Amino acid sequence: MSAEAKKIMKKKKQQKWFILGSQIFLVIAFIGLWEVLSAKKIINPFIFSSPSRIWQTLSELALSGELWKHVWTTLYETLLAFGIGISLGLFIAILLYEIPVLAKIIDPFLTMLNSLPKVALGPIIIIWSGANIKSIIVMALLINLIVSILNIYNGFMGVDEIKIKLLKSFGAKRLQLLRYLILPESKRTIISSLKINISMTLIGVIMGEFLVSKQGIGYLIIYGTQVFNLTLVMSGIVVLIILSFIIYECITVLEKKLSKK
Amino acid sequence: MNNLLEIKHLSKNYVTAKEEIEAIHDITLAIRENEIVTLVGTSGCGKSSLLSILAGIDQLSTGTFLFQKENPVIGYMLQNDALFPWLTIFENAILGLKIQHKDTEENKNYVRHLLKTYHLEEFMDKYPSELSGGMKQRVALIRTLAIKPDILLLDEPFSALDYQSRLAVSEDVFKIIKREKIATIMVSHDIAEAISMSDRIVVLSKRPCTVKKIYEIHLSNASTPIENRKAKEFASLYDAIWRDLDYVS
Repeated sequence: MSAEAKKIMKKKKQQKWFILGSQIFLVIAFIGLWEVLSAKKIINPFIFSSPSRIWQTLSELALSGELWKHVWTTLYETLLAFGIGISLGLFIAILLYEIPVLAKIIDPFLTMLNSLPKVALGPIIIIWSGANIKSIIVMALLINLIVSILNIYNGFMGVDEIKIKLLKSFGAKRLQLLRYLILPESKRTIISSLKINISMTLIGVIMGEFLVSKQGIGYLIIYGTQVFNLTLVMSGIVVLIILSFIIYECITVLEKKLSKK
Repeated sequence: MNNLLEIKHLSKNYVTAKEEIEAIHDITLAIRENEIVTLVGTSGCGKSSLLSILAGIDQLSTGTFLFQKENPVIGYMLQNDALFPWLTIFENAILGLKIQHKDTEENKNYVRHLLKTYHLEEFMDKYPSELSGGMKQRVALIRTLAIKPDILLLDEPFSALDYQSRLAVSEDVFKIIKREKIATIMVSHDIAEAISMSDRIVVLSKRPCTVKKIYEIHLSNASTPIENRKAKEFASLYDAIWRDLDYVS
């Protein structure tokens, strides 16, 4: 390797460490500043809480087992809604692709539903599905399903016309088109829709938990608000940040694995 | 020489919600065995539509086309190589066979033989992204040859390549077609390419396309496409076809 190349590589490595170091510094500085301002009562600790109080609350919740119950509930609801959303989204997208007239008929309805703020449907969902996990799943599905359908369907429609023509010239039937071309060519779109879907699902689940639940991180946050325990609210938010980060990273690993195949 | 394919009074109209567009008007043409016929015409005149109809992808409106053989196998090659990036070169080459449920060991061996003959053996397990444009085009042709076609339909097969690659690949493709002895209908908008590769050139009119003139190409010292460009009749043929195409009106 030339000296010049070594120099460039060293510079790039240094830059990578600088970025990581800056990110860690920002987090520590934020937490430190927050803690100091709260301890010195420059900001109202009752309203703004503090990292040490949040840590204490989280430790207590973890030790009592309460925290894991809430985390598990939210995780379970998220994974369930995610699984249903992505399977149903793929199925409906295939259906729309296979029946173009159907796609044309429901296109404006999908667009309308997509632009509708789904939280507005919350009260109706509670009445229809009851104040239970079903409502939470329905709320999450309302949010993730339309986006999944539109993403995957648009991926299907973007498949190279020349390749379709080629397979047709070999006498490919529609199912063969789907198997040999449409699905593999749309793999990237489907995988990227997993990422969008998981974020949307988490939003839907938390929204659902705000509305109906007796358990879950959304419930923890809304309960904290009701009893004006802002430390509990912020603890819930911290757990949510960590949970969504872990889920997102898992999807990224899955994406990398699927992309390699 | 026998006629492999006879097209009689073939017409094609496309109907949209607003209008009916006549793309092809009353084409009558016979294709003989082992010959390369090139259809030249202005952009959008309907020459690709004619190939789509012959390939069975599109329907004709009126007229007929009849192959000498019952249930002929048609090989269709399009504007770009259309190789599937997630499949290896070998998997790409046997794609047609797979779709037609003919991926027997014997046919796979034939594909291996083709890949070996056309210097792609060592790339069998590689992916298309690892090949040059010319090599990809050769794989695309082998994928078409794998199904043992009775006739080849080439729809501007070199148009996605740069000029140098076009010359090299057309040379390759020409040699392969002549070696495998397959009648070929090629669509091209490149007059020089058409003269250098064809036994006959069919000049099509502007839309709706009809047969305007047919040129029998008999070049002195006829050889490969690049050599054919040096023939003394080349320039005069080029001029005549250019005038027939009526680009400048």
